[in-house]
Amino acid sequence: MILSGLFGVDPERTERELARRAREGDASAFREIFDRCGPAVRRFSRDLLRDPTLADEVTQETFVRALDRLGRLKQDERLLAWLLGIARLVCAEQFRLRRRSQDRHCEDSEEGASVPASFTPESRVLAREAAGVIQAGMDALSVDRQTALLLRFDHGLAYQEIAEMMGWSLAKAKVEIHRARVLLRDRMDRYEQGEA
Amino acid sequence: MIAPCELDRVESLLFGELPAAEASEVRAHLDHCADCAREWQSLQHTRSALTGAPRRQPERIGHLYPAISRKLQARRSVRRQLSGMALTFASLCAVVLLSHGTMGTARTLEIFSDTCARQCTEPAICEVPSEQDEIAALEQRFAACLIATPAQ
Repeated sequence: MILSGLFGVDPERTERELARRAREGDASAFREIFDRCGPAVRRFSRDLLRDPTLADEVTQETFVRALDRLGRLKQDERLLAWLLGIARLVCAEQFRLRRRSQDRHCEDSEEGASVPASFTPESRVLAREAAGVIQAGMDALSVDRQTALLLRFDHGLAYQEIAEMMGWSLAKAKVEIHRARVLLRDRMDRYEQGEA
Repeated sequence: MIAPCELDRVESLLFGELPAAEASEVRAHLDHCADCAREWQSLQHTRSALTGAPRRQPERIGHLYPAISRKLQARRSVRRQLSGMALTFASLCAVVLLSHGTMGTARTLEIFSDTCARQCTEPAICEVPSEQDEIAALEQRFAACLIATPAQ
């Protein structure tokens, strides 16, 4: 890591190197990919599904499928963006299963609304309330808009990457994310003004 | 808003997507453009809402890896079994073709497809007539012929 900083090694090149090694059967390289990208994949899945147990399953399935498909990773594709793309598809399967069983599980999990231990009791209450408002704002969005907004604002993916992942044009990706942001901001503004 | 207001550039600044020189230019612009400064604040607000402490705890994922390893091993063993079955089937086909080599390829394929059409319930487990069956069938036909045309 220090050496990479000193010699200016491109992190994307390192990712490609890791992917190549994992494809050739190097278990330690695959483990490193998991350690690097696993937290973001789980966070993304948890945000979409609102269920920590399902998020664990989605994370596992994402990495199992990823190892199978490493050969399809394009040269210019970022590993994290690619993994989040797989996670999105696995989450979509979960949504379909939920719809089929008509057991839509949308409750805010304790984990999702948890706050750091350093918070005072009063600020904990406020933080939980704020988290609830953000969650309610997200619930008002379609799954596609939630997905796109999270990919941009939480995971920092470029519009082009999001557009490719969602099967949208670049213009549509920008419009959808802008609309999602405006809706979320509106919900939060109303909360701050004491209307919600 | 006045030129060179480009909200895309304000957003790119937030995500660190601009080259250093362009980033300084946009930052300087934010100091004297109220509309862009408002957009900047709004973008920051959304980002901190989605990434900020109230929603976040470090993701604990270490416990997930053993299950991933198990799933991968299970998949590998299923694949090995499938490729073993495919190899067995291919070998069976080769043996059948060789054993009927004396009859000619066309006749062998005819017998093989006839048998499959009549008896096959599962494509991978087709029953192919043995040489004995073939001889018995020929004897039956020959005998029938003798009955139909008695010796003069």
